[in-house]
Amino acid sequence: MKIDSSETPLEPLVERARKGDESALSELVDRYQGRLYRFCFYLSGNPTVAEDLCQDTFVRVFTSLGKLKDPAKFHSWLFQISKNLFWDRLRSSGKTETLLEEPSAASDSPEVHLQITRTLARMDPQDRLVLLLVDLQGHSYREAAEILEISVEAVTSRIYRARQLFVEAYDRDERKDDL
Amino acid sequence: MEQRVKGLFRQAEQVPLEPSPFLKTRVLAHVREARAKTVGFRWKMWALASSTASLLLLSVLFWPARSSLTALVDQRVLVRVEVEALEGSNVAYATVELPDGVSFVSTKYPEIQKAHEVRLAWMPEFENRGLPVVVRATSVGKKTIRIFLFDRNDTVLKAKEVTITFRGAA
Repeated sequence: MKIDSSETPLEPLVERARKGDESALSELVDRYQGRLYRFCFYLSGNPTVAEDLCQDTFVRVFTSLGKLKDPAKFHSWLFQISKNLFWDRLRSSGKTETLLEEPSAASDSPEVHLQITRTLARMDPQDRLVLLLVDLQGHSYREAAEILEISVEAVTSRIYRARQLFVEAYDRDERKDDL
Repeated sequence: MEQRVKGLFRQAEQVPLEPSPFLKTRVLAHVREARAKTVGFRWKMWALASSTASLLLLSVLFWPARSSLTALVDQRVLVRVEVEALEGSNVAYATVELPDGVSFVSTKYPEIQKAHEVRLAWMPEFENRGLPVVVRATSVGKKTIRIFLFDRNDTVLKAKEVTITFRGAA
């Protein structure tokens, strides 16, 4: 992950948050909300669900900071909780595949964004997760393995398959649009 | 392939995607509320356990920090974590986290069946009868259940991992 050198170092910030310092909680939200929201948006394909997931993730993280043994792992932990909440939501929605609603072509978002959202909507959530963690969020395979609670080898094979499926589906959709 | 996917995501990042400006306010309000609230969830898993004939009972001590057990997929399993040694350690509540492929079982509280984690108010009977958790796995393999005990300041007092190897029915 890229670190902005002007930011307060993460570990003391997490320590302060753990002690209930609200300014530290506020700074953590400021620092992560953009990345987390984008991740949740592409994961769920729905801005309302993404907003809820984001909110629930921060609340869950902040109310159980005592469980985080290593503050340096805050980032991975944040995304792990987000992933868990996403699965909980999938289960409670009764859908086994996806929560995604395909965006309408009338949206004013640039084509590549719409195309990505549409393509992700058709993917298996496990493949979507690994793709978003590694290729969108820039997590290493090791970090993705921690977040997904699987082995690095499993991440390696899953990301390979996910990239292939994503590119094939993306290109197929693009050709359809050209017709 | 990797460069292609990353390149597409980089292009998509040009599209501003931001949460509501009130997200932070809502998050901080929820955190304040959660900290102020006394844990209210009353756990009556024993009622379920005593009325369920087909329940497999697996009992483990809170110490050592890790334990390994074996059970069958689709079978209700009562994991009873013995916590006698914690007497006097000011436990306020416990959380139980399940891995993917394992769910809680409760007829009285069906809402927890879809949860990944539950937070349990600490009750004195846990110290005599153990902390009971009824689960069921939907797939074979090793699954690790994590249990944390907290004090009133949300500090972890103890952590326990129970790994259950779920096998298919014979």
